[in-house]
Amino acid sequence: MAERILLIEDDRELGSQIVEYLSKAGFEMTWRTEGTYPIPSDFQSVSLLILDLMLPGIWGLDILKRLRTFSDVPVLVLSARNNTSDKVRALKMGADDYMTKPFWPEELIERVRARLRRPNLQKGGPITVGNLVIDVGARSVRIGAVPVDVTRVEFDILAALMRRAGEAVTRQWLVGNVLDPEKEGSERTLDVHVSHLRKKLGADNVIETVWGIGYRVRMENPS
Amino acid sequence: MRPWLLLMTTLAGLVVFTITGLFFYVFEQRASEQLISHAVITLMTKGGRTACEASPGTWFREVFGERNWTGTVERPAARNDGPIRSLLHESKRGARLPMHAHIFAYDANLSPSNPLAPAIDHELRQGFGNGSITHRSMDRDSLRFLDDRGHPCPATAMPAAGRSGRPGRPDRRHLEPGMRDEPGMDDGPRGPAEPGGPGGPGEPDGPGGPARDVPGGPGAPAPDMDHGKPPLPGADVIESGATTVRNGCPSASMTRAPGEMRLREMLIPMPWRTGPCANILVRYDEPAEEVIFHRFSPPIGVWGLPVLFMLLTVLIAAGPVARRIVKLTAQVRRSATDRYRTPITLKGRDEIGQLASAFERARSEILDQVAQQEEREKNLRTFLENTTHDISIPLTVLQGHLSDMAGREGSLDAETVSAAMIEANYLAALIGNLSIASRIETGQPTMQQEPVNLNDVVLRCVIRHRPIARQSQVSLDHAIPENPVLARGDMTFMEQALNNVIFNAIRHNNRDGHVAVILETTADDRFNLSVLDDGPGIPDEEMSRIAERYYRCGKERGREAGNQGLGLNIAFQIAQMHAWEFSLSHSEFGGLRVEFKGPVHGSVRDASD
Repeated sequence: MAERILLIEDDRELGSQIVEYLSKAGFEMTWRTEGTYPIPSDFQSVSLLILDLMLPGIWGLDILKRLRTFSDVPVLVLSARNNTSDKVRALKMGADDYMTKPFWPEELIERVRARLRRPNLQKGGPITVGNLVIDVGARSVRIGAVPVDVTRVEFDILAALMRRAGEAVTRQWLVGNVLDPEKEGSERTLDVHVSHLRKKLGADNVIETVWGIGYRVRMENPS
Repeated sequence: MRPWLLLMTTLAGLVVFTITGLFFYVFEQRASEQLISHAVITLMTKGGRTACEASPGTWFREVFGERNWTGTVERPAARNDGPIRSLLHESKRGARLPMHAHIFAYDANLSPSNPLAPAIDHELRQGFGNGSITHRSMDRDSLRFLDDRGHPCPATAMPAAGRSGRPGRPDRRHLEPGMRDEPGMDDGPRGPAEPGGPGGPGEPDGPGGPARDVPGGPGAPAPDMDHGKPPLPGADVIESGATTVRNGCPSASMTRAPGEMRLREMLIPMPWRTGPCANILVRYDEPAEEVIFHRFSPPIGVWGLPVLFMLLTVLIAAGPVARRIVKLTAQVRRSATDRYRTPITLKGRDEIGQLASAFERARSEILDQVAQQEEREKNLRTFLENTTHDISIPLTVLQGHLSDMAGREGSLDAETVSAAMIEANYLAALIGNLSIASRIETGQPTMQQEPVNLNDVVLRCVIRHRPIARQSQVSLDHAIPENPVLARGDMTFMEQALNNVIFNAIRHNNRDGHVAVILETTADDRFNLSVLDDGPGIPDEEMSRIAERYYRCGKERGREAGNQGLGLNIAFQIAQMHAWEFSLSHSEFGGLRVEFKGPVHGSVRDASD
């Protein structure tokens, strides 16, 4: 089911563009060009509000203020004024994020997605990326149903990367937090461990090298 | 007390000094001449005449010659010098009397046949005084006769006898430069405007003149004196001098070349008009410089007291004035140090009070100007903000269109669209920097001091540049710690700094290049935010210049390089505003590494926890 986004933006050209590319990205768009005080019924099924701060006749922050009296729907504020006090005020009044014009459509889509993404981290439970499943509590690794035999260090590395799947983790961090600094605290050692891991994961290897940073567990593109 | 008192007293002091100086200059000479004249007449009256007439051959010898009239007599006094000395001694003004004087007595007709003549001649030949003057210097042409008021006497009755004497004149060679010596001198009496200008000495036929001029005088010179003896030097002087005296000029003076001793002669007619001592010639000399010096510097007793009084007046007048000036200076300085907010309160109706009020007017004028300037700057900033706002919206739309074009496959030249996108992004960066630069200029007051989530800053900046990185075929990756890192400062500035560095790394990279943004924390609670690339990097000399306060790349550089300089310079300035370390170095991958380092303000647990 497509998530519904309410856009309040007075500029027609920009508004229609935003509607167009967010619709293409799979969202259900509702667009208002006039700023009016929000009423609860408008937000029944709205997953996200994209709010322009400068609207004719009403200050976007007043809408936000009123909205927060009855709803905690995520709000992404758009501002053409690259002004910190506006942003700080918006964040303090309950906005979840802000964007400064000009921006790229992809930027907006990504930020909208980031706002709507549900946190799905369960502490201690199994983490699944593709076919790969690890159970932090049981310290086990499986590809599908087939267990993979990994060493203690290899497991720690994989777990650290899986826990933050999709995000790059620096070599330094891994060396400092996963490897035993007494025995094997060097990036070269880390690379050797990762190399072994990749071999063990074989075709289902999800560990990729990130230039200049370190390693990352690849996630399938959500879009 | 008014400041003009200073000026007045100074002027008055000068005036007093000058007046007394002039007074002394004018009267000193006359006074001394009168004193000498008086002394000589008294001397002669009180027995000097008897002595003189009894023994005229010896009497004329030096009567007195003292350096200091209050001191001792230098030479054995002649017998009659007592009265003169005491007379001169009585006057304190004697200090200015001649140092050496010689007295000569002449009979009534001043004839060379005067029995004194040989002795006089001898005396003159010996020189007199301290010997610095010899008779040969006695040039009658330089003789000047002065009347009571110091004016030259008209040479009314110069003897015609001077004519024929010229050929034999012995001291003709001593004529001073500029003296009249034209042939016309022979032709008769001089005009009245030529004082002391008799044509020739009364030598052989001199008697004609004196006989006519001196009443009751014998008038006939002895023939043997005309031809058998050398002409008597100085006789003509005496002759003409006597004539002048008869005409009301008591003295005659002769001046020699400037800077030398000044010879003065006074021919003083005695109350009696007969006998060998009817005329007394006093001859003395004085140094010219000393004369001038004395004449222009009155005794300290005369001018000292007024000047002292005036100095006191000046001191009394200047004291309060100086204090007021010091006070005013302090007030003006203080006012200048706090941007002219402190008013200048010194009051008064005098000139310093007026100066103070002028300063005060200038101060309020400056305040007005500053206020106007601040108003203008504020308007300019508002205009800039509005313009930024107005441009941002169409630029967003433009970026949307460009992005749409880039998404359509095949229909458009991908390179062109990609280039257009980079330009649009460049425009956006410029607008951001323009707005930031105007705020940086205004300094700290506009900077917010809030805890800022650096993880979010990194994410925003990376997400913002992903489309453009994709178009440029540059990989853009980032790494942030699991828990948000907070730093204190202004999120707009921080974002702009990081945006500039990231955009710079993407723009100045090669196709298939890499850009990595890494946020880390260190054990000592500091963050390290670095951006590295494998592009061509920046030359060392440019790296050091990025940090210059108003660094802009030279005009000869293109837009590309210019943006690099401006963007990095603004990043540097923002780092400075936050008291962060900002460093540029070569990354281990060959490109540029830009690092921001600063204190962690705190760390919050991830919102998702």
